[in-house]
Amino acid sequence: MNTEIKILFYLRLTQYRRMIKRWINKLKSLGFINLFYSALFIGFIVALYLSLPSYLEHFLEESNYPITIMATMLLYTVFIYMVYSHFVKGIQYPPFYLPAGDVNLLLVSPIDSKYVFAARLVKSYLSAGFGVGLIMLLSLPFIKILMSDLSLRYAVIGWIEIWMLLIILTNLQCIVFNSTALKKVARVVRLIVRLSISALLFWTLYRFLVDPGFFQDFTPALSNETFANLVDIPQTFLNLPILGLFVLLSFISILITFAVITKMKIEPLIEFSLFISGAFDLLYSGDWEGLEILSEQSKKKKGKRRWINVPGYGFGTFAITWKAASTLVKQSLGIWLIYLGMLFGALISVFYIQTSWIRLAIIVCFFFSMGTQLLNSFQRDLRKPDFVQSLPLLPKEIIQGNMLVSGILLCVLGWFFVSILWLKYSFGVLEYLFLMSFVPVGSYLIIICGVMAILCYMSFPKIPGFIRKISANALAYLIIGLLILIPWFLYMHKLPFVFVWLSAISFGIFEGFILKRWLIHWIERKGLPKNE
Amino acid sequence: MIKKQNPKDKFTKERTPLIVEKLSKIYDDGTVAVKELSFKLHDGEILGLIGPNGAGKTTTLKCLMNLVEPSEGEIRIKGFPAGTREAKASIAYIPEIPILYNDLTVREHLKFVTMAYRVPEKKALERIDRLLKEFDLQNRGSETPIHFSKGMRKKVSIICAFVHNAQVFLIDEPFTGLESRAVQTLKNSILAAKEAGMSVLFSTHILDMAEKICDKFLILQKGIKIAEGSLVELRALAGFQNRKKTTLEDIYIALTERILREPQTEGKDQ
Repeated sequence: MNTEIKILFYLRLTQYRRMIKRWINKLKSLGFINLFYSALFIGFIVALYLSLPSYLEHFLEESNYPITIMATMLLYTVFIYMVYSHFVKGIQYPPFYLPAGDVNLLLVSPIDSKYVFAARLVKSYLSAGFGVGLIMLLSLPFIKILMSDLSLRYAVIGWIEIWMLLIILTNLQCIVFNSTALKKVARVVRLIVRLSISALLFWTLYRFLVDPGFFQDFTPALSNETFANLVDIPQTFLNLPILGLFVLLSFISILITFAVITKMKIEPLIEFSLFISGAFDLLYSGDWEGLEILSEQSKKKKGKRRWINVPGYGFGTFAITWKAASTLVKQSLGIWLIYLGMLFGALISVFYIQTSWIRLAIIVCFFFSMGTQLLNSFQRDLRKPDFVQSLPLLPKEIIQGNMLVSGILLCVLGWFFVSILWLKYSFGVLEYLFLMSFVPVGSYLIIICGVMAILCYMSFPKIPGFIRKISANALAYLIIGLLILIPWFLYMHKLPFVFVWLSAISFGIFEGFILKRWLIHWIERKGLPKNE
Repeated sequence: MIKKQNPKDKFTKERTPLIVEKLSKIYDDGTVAVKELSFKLHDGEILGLIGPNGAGKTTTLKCLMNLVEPSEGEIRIKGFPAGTREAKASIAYIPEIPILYNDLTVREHLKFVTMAYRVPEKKALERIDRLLKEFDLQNRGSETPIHFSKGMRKKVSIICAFVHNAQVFLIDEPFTGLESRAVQTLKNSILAAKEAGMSVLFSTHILDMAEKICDKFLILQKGIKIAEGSLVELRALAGFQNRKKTTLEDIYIALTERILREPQTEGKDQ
């Protein structure tokens, strides 16, 4: 074996050995009770997951929608999106970055940079393979229901094909990232796609408002011959005797793209890693001084300052509010489109989901997801304790400022949602006003639950991250679930509308008051959690 | 455009440790980090790269290490183009921000570096022990640097640079984050390297330290070289030839302020 590869092997093996050792030590330090709770929680999740396929089967039996056609369309969309996103991602990011350790120690050593690059590329292929395999394994019970005639052979071939596709896409992203001409093409493609999607969304919304039965026209359209042929393509493809040839062709494509990228100059990738991986490593090690130096350096590349300045004329809640608002306003167009998409999803559920509790759950779910997205800036504040927490601010001010801004923005989105409902259903002014007045209360409650989830998630660093995240979100949903239970109960008992909404608002304010008091008390006692 | 390297021209008879000719680096957004920088580093010479924040010192060092691709210009290390195995084998680099692998112990880091630079095992072990002792890390060798302070990480990074047979040392802000004893040890190591005929190029903000150990200085501002030479030469350049006690700091301030006052002289090598 080549000496350079041997050295890389030594490095990676030592790293993995140490990582496994650290994981074992971490598990040991958890203690019996925590492990027991974790096992219990995981057991609950697994039980929930196992019971889902039967619900899906039941739903398919009852529903009149052409599910197979819709599922196939979804697959096509995912496929097109994957190709598109990998292509345009190459404008800004390579498919991976080299860790700062690799930059500082490996790339400056006499080991050929191509080996370092190739080793990293192979690692990303393996991770992609593992990811696809895991998803295939988890989705197998559902696929069996959706495509009842699917055999294990097809599933395995499908998995290999998806894996190969991911490898080709990874390579493509690398090629785009390293080619100025392809970057220009990708920018044009991105612009065209963004404009088309925005136009389509606005047109759909307009059509929907003008003609409420607009979506129902799609159902027969989906059953026509063109769509049926499209649906048949994957099935026909799977039955082709030349399937092996296709796998072979994919393999050749991988080899060609791999050969292209290993011949390319890799300096752009290293330059990218200099500014990104260093920041990540410093962030994890909590080296804020180092981060600031790196930020200074990256200014040369990015051309603008990343750090957020708290204005000198105000501190406390106002300063944090100002900072959070500035951050939220500067969110990318993609994030705003996500909000729009979520609102649209909530609207669709109002009109097309018949079972009222599912409908309500979906709306809450969409709004909670929006709330979580809006609290990203707060999460960042907690992860940068040396910056925000070293300012003369009380922990409660940090929380209040972030909650205020996120709550207001969620409320605005909620009002937009209610107004569209009003345009569609033309309900009375009184009902409209009640709904509009409930939105701020609901938004604030959702944000409080989101904050509580974040605080819970970050306060127990000894428990593995994914368990904390799942538990925290489960907790938030549980609180929101309880909060909507009383108005729901009143509504189901056909009480007068005014009474239901007044109860809902007053109950919401009351609950919000208690939760906030408890939250502030907890924060004053324990302080804000430090970064992990 | 970057001057194309002819593979046959991979090695030239010129064995000057470091030659930089008309090096420029312009980032994608048009920011000029370094502009037409030329200088030479000779055997047994210590050159201090000084300049204000954003002057292009770190970018220059990264270009020399081939971590950042120069937009124009040529770099030769011991006669080899930057980025080639031979060039890299001759250089030791100490980055400003010491980032290490959290999964390797200090000794494993050093073992790995000696493997990469092909240092014979016996010699490597001997050097590792000596350097760990010199930098007060002899009891921390079996620890991973995950909970090390920035200064301790820097020490490991410095040891990684001194553990192999480098001919040229490129050091970015060497004294930042180090305690006094470590500063002294590093200073002695740099001077010992110079005595052994090795060359050192380091960027720094600490001008009094630079004044004590550097033979020559190169002052950068906004990516442009505004002055180069020994302390005596710089003194003359700044108009202080009759004031023998003028420090490097005084000279530096005088020269950079003069450039600020006379923007039309920017870009002209002094």
